[in-house]
Amino acid sequence: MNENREMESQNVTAAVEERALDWLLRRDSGAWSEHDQAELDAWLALCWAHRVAFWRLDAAWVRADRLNAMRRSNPDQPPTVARPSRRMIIGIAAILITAVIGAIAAYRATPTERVYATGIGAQRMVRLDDGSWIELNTDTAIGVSTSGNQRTVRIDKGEAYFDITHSATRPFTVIAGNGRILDLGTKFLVRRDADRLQVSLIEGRAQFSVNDQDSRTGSASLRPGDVAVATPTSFSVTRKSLPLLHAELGWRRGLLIFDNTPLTEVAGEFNRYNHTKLIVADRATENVTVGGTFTADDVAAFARVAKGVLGLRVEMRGEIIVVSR
Amino acid sequence: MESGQGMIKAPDSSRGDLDPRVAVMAAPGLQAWFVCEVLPLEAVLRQFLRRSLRDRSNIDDLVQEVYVRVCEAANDQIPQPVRPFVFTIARNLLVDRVRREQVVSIEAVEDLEALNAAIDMPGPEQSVIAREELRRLQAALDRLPPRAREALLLRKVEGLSWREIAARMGITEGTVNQHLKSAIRSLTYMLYGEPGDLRSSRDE
Repeated sequence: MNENREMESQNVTAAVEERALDWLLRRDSGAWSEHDQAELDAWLALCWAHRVAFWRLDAAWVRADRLNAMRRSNPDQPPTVARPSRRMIIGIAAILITAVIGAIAAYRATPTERVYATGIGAQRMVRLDDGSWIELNTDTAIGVSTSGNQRTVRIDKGEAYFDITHSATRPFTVIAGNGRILDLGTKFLVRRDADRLQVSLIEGRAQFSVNDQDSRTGSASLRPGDVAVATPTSFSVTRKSLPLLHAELGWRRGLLIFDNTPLTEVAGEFNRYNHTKLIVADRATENVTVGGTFTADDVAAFARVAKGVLGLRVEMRGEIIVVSR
Repeated sequence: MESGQGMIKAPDSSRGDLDPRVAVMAAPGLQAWFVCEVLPLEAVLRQFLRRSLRDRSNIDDLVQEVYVRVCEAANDQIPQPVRPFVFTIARNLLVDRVRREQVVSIEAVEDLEALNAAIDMPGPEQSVIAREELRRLQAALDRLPPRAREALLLRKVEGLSWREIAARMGITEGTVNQHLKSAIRSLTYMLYGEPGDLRSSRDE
């Protein structure tokens, strides 16, 4: 009896997995309509066994997307460098000007600067020849120069995670606006918004300094858990728990993780990753706070939560989602 | 973020099978939580179940059952921390089995406290960073049957449609389906069911 029962449940488990696989593949095969989605939703709603089986397979399927990143970050393949010929002309011009005028543009002579960028919602991994890794988040642009004994990364905009192989003889410097981060063997996160620069240190040590033309300067030696924020008018260092820091790194797994986060901030985060923009319409709604884990590129799912769970009014206007009381 | 030790509670393991008609909707965020927090424990969970069971043929079944119970319970409130919660549920499930059919070695169940202590350290899944992820994917990929691997790469890396894959490989779309199915099935098991090369990633 027991044996029968077990055999039966085993068959059920295998059958559920088979069904979940069929759904996953059918969705991937191309012709996937709203009707198909509704059917899948209905199947998932039937029981937890269906859901966990599907979620598990789907998670692996999504993880396999990373294979794509591997190919793109392959150092053997040319990255999206500005076209070489033009770059070379600029380089030669720069050298001539340098020769005539002086050494103002000396750094221009750096043999290669490689530019890496991501669009909205995209992410990208860059491996440097020294084994260091840089992961670019959405809407980010950086320039990487490695000459003999200098390694320099310039962040023009956006957010990047650094995992740096330390070398005493080849210092690694990240430059973002007026900010400068000297790596002392670390993993850290740098985020550059309009006029705000944030450096979060995950592991190791780093020196962070800001030098403004207006003579406002700040400098700090960062340790794991330190979060330094520089704006035109302030410089501060606070300490965050590691779980909180890991929540900030959720994007590396495609997730936004909120904990008692004001709705306006939540909207701002989603808007970094999506062309469809969330707008918080009124003051009353601004005070709502949100906790939970969301898929960064699924703003529609968040809108459903706002409506169904937070009880807010959600209005779709083309590329805009307006949230109000 | 609070650690909330007191919130660990395992659902009543004697509960009967869920009636599909009364199944509740999954709470928002639950899927992401399950994928990020629970799935990475699968390798350790399987190891624990294998150690505890004489008959290892139904491990898949037990893993599935643990997941169902974990999600049911977490749907009301996400438990913190996750590991002890998941393993408490697994233990309750095994205790059930012991009562019912004597297939579990009791020592192994008692061992759970030690196991819990050992696995509640900062998890490898938190420190597995991108490059380990790629290494792991690559390793899993290398072990796929060649045709399944080819189909998966054409789909995921080249971004070809099924029809294009069929044309490229000289097979029908139905066969593409078969290859991809086998690829996902193996990949899922290799990514979640087997212990990864995690030690090296933590020691770096």
